[in-house]
Amino acid sequence: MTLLARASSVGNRVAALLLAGSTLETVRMLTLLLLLLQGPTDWYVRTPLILLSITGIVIRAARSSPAFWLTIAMFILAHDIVSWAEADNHKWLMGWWCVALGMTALAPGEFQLKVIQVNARLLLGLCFAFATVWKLFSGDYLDSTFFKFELLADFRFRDAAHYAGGVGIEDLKENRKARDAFQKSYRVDAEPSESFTLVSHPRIDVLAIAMTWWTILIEGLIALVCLWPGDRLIAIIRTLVILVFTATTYILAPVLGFGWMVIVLGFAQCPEQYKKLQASFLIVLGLLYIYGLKLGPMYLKAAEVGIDEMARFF
Amino acid sequence: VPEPGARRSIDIRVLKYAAPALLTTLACIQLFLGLNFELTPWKGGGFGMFSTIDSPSSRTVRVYLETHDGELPTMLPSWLTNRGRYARSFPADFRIRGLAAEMAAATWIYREDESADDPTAKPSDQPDIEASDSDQPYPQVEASRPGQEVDDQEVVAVDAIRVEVWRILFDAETNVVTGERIAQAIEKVPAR
Repeated sequence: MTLLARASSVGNRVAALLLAGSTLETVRMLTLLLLLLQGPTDWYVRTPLILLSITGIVIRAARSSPAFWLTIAMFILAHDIVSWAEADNHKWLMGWWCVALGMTALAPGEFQLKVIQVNARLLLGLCFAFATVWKLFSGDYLDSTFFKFELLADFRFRDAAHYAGGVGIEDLKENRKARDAFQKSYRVDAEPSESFTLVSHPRIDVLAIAMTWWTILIEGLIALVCLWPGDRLIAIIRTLVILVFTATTYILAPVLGFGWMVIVLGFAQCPEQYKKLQASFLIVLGLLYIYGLKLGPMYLKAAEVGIDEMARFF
Repeated sequence: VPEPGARRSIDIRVLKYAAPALLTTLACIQLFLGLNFELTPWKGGGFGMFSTIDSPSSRTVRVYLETHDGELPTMLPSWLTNRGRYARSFPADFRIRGLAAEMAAATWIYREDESADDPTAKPSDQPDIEASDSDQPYPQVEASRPGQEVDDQEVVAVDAIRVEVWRILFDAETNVVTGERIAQAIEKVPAR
């Protein structure tokens, strides 16, 4: 048996194991797990969401009910409205997604899969379309100022800035401390600091440019392929683009909640006959947790040589 | 076979497009507010995260008490923390004016400080304490909620409250970070 055939056979078995139920059932279960582990944390919504999620996981009739999903949507959207200027965008997406699941449960059985697929495709497409529009309108994105600043002064990008960008860990700590002190001086000092300078490295500029254009390219592409209707070739392209996005983006930006939400939507829009592609979403979900264990820098270190080459080129 | 509870009366198009339509409506409102009223692109349901350094964590709300003796920088009272966060993300004029009005209605008192004999002492008078090493501004003052009893001796004579919202700017050429004021409101304190 060739290596390819062996891999295919293993892939089939993994897919069969992970996707024993229908697409709709798997989508509902993934969403309930998402709500349980990554839902809003404010007590007034956390407690009912935990209870509802457990109920849905245990009782099939509950998770097939429109009232169940619309009640969950109501709790999440109420939270998002109360904390409108503070709620993360994936909490909004979570709310709209639960509305979509409620709408799906309202549909006649033979239309339910189609309804959930269209909702998932459009929600993903719109989310990434608005994300792309904001990047185009922003005054500090296209010239890569945003990513340069984030790499140097945001602890979430510390590993990328160190391993791929070449900035020392101590320098990054100093950058972070300087940023905190600068902002604190605005809160507490009669005469706040006027400015401070971030410590950088020549490779950071290259990395920031690469991240800027990669992000806008992949997000724009997701928007395009998701808003473009079609069930055959375009569906496969769409699924592959979403998989590439989720498998690469969260190495550098460990935003697990949003990544999980994108995976659920990507899984839901994927045509049911492509079991291996569906299974790939579940594998990528596992990858997000591995990235969270800070194994990402290992891969970044491996890519360092390549980035050095790019730096020389620029 | 339709599942129990499935209803044919609802148009299938409504079921397909209701949630995307809701997302689009909110995101368009957020885009409008972001482009015209300084709402941070990161918040408000418009998916502008990771598009600008102008996130809520890059913004700061600054509060001054304007007195006969000059300006006293201070912090938001604890009961206004949530409104302060809201004003930071969305510093619309009515919002920061409301915040300033809430603080103008409060009574401001000097905080008790056992280490200092003179509660109005400036940082330079206290060599052991530098302003930047403390989370609290000096001279330390705090707000007492309207209606709460306070000792008259300790009250700060405040003429007006000034609230400002600042954001960070970054020059990628020089790596220099500066601040920029994006909103301000002044509220006179009513005579008591």
